[in-house]
Amino acid sequence: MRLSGFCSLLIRWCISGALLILSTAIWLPLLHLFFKPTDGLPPKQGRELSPLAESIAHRQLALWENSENRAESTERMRRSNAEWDFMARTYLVLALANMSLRNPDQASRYITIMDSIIGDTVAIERERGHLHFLMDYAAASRFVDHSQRSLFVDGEIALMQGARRLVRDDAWSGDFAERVAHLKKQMSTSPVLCGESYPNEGWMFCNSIALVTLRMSDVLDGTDHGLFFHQWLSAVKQSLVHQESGMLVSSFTWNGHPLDGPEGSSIFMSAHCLEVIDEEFARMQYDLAKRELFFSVFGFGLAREWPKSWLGPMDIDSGPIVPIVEASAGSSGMAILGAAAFSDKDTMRRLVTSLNFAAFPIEDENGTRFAASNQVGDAVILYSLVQGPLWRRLREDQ
Amino acid sequence: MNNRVRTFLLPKPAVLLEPARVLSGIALTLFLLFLAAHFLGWRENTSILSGTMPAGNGSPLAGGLQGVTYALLWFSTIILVPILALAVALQKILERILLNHSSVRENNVPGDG
Repeated sequence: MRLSGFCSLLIRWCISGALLILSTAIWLPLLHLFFKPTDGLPPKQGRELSPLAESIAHRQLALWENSENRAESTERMRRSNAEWDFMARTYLVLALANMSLRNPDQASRYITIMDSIIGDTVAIERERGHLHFLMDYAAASRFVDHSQRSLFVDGEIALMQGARRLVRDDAWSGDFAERVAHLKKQMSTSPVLCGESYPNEGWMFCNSIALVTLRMSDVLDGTDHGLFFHQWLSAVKQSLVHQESGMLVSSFTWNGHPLDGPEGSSIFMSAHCLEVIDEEFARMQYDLAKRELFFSVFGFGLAREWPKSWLGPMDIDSGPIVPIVEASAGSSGMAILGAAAFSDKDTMRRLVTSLNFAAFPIEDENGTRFAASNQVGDAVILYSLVQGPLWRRLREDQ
Repeated sequence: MNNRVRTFLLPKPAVLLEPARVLSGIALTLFLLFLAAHFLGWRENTSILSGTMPAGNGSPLAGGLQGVTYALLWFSTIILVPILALAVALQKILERILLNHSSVRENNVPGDG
């Protein structure tokens, strides 16, 4: 190659470099337009579901109507985390309860599935105990509380039963009342009024769910936990708030020593649950979580698992975290629930845009699922898209 | 072998290093690799991104690698390929403008005709 030829090539590469920069500047801001949801934020009321919600629901219902498909899907989740098998049930029942309240014509079909899920879960719990739905380390030591029960398991089963009863109150009342009594007792004996999900390990996620079940008991069975809610909020604000961010921590010991800091895969659900106890505090927690964890790049929204101000140990069960940006699928999925619950349309639109782009949706004759997710992730997305009526009933009766 | 075929099969090194040729080559390769991964069914294995074991009876490690590879190829195809294609298109437009401009100038040289 002659020198003049080399110089000419070099100049052409310099021009190409400049054009690559220009092309990047043109393409990146446009990219989100191809993945933006077309049906927007679902309304809090009304019978109609968004096409995405319809399609995910179709698939989730098919899984419970065909035990073979469910067995394969459940086995995959259990190989990673036994809790996901359990939580997939909870979120699907919550979604079905909301869908029933939205569209009473379909309630009978949904109630049959809800009863099937609750019945199967209670049967497994009776046969194999709480450990079946917990990670292996739960068996390594004993709970501080004498009952030796997990608030995670009791709380979510009671939540499913309560949701089912709020649609039609003709089943599960005895078991529900027993579990509510267990939950209240477990929480009351702890110095911070929070029960254990694992031995000497309480989770804000599970305790917030337990509060919702106590509230359900007030609505369904006429109990009154008003004073307990007041005491719980005082205790938690005093001992379980991360000072730097103002957010609730995600885990702590039985006597209230914080373990993990505020966590994306926990705080959005906790804020959603606290809506039925103290709307103002719940809204504040959501706003803080959004400020500390949510970020947007070129129209795509993501949520970090941990706030930048948390420098302590990190939880092992929140799934992989994307390096550099420190976002996680768990946190971003739960952020969709938070944004839907608090009617934050812009944040929800950005998060669903990322879901369409990076969660690899697969649509076929059975409906929609996200390949990068799993059954519990899909159930959380479905619940986010249909939530509203159930929580409104709990708030209206206050 | 005629000249045109010879140039195509045995290009000079300078031609191989032409920016437009290199960039389109990269874009095409990424796109074809993505298509291959897609038709091999590796999209299913992106469940590894949420920490869920890949589907099927194969080795979890192989499934996980397939899932990560698919995700990287997808992001490359969606983000990089359009950028490369756009840069090549802009370069072609720029070259055409410059060529037209220089031929107009050559045609306008006094005493040339």
